[in-house]
Amino acid sequence: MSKKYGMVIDLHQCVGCGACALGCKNENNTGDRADGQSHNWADFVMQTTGVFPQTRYTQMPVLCNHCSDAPCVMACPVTPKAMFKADDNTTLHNQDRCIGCRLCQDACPYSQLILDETSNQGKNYSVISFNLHGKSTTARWQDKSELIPGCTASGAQVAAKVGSVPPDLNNYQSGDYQPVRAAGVVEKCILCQHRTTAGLLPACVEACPADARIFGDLNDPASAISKALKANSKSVQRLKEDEGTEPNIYYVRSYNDPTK
Amino acid sequence: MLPGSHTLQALAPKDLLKIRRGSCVRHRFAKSSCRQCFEICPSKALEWRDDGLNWDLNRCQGCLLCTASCPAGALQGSEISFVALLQELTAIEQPILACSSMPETVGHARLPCLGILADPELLLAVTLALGRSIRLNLTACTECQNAAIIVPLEKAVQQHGNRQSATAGTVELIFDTAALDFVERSCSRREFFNLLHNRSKRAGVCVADRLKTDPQQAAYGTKQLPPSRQLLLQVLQQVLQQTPDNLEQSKNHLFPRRITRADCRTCTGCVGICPTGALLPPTEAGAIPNFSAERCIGCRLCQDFCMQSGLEIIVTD
Repeated sequence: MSKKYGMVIDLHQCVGCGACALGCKNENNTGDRADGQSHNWADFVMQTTGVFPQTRYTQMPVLCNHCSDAPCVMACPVTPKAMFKADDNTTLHNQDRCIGCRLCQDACPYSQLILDETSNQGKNYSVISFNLHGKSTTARWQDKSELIPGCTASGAQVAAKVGSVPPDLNNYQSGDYQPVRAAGVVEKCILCQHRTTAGLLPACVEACPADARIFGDLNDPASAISKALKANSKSVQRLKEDEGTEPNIYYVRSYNDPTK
Repeated sequence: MLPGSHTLQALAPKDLLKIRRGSCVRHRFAKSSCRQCFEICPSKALEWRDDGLNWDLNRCQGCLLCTASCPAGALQGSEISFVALLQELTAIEQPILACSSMPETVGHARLPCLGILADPELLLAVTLALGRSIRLNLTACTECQNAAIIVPLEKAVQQHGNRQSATAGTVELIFDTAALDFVERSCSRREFFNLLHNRSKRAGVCVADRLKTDPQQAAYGTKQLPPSRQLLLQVLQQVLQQTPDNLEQSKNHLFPRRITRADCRTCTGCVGICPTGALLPPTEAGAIPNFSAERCIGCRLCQDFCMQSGLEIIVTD
C-alpha cells in the first residue's frame, strides 16, 4: 500500500513554546510577515476566553493540512497542475509552473488572500502565502539602511559578510522546491519533503521539545501515528472537518485539560 | 557523444514547431475555451490531452496555421526570422512571397509555408515595415497537401484590409500564374556575394543551433510576447519614430483597452494569469494592477479568470 503521510499533534503535550514555527522558518528560509502574507508555514491559533481570574488560554499549532481532497489542487488552473498531490499523499507545489493567480489561496479553507491585523493576535492564519510580484522574498537582506547609521550593520552587509541571502540560508535540495521561493508565486508547507525522502523527520517535528508532534504513515497500522490515533480515538479532531477536505493533520486531547 | 552523432544531429531537420507551454492560455487556465490551434490544424497533429498540448511530428504537414492562430505565441515556427526576411525584401519594388514546400513557384523570398502569414498582426507588421504592398504566390497551393491554408489566409488578408493604416501596404493573394508578373531581382556582383554571404551565415547559425541542447522549458511565470507582436512593436517604433503623435494614436487604435470595475479586490490574480505581461503588478500594494496596452494580445484570459468580474478587455477591430 502506498504511503499516506500525516501528523498527529497532541495538544496536551504542546506547551505553545513556538519551537515548531522557529524550526520551520530556519529549515525552509521563509520570509517575514508583510503585505498581508504571514509566510509562516507553521503558525498558531491563539485564544483567550473567560474573565479574570477565570481565564483560559490556548495556543494551537496550525500548518497545511495536506488534505486528501485538497481544494487548492482542484483550484489550480495550470496544466500540469502547479499544486499537486504526491504519491505519499502530501500536497506539493511546483514553483516553475505556478503563475501566481492565487486561486489555491482563495480555495483553501485554512488560508486568506490577505491577513488582517487580527492575525498578529493569532485569530487568523494562512497556510498558503503569496510572494508579491516584483518584491524580493529576502528584501530584508538586500536592504542597505542601518538601524543606527555608522554603528549597526545593514541587512545587505550581513548577507555579504556571510556570503548568502538570507544569511542563515538552508540550501536544501528538494524535488520540485527551491530553498528560497521566487516573487510572484505562492508558497506553502511541503511537509519537509526534502527531509522525509531522506529518512528524516519534518523540521517542526524534530524541533518540538515536548514530542507533541507525531509524524508518520497513516496507512501503516504499526506506525506511531496510527497507534496514537487509536489510543485517543475519543478526542481526535481535525480543523474545519465540515469543509469535507479530509485533512491529514489530527489533533488529540486538549491543550490544558489533562483529564481528557 | 561520438563526433559522428554531432554531424547527424546538425543535419537532421529541426522540429518545425516549438511549443512554449507557459505561454499557452489553456495551459495557464484549464477553464479557458481556447481551441484555436487544434481546431485549425488540418492534419490533426495537435491534440489536447490530460498532460496538456501534444504535437505529433509524424502527422504534422508543416502548414504553420497553428502558429498563426495562437493568440499568445505558444506555438512558433522554429528557424524563421522575419527580420532577415524583411531585410531581403526591402530593395524589391513589388515583393512576392513564395514557399519552400513548392520550390517550382517563383518568389523573392520563401517561407516554409505561407500558412504562417494567416495572422493579421503579422501581415500588418510586414507591410508596415516595407511601406508597400506584398503579394503572396498561391499558384501551387491547390495542388499542395497544405491547401487548407487558403481560407484562413483569405480571412486574415480581409482583416488586414479592414484595419489597414495609411502607411501599411495591402496584401494580395495570387492564384493565377498569369497575374503573377514576377520580376526577377537583378543585383550587382557585390550584392550577389553579400546575399550569398548572409544566407550561408544564417544557414550556419541554424545548423549550430541544432547542436545546442534544448533549453529547459521556461517557467510559466516568465512572460513573453508572441513573435508577431514583437515584430509589430519594433516596426512601429522605427516607422513612426518621426511622428510621435501618430505613434500614440496608432497604439490606441491597434491595441486593446482595459476597463477596471469597482469589484476588483486587487488580488493581482490577473497579473499572474496574463501570458504576455500586459497586466503588471500595481505600483503600491493594494492598488489596481497596471496595464500595458501594447503587450495585450486581447486573449481575455484575465476577464475569464476574474471571479469578481473586476475587469474587462475591449478589443478594437
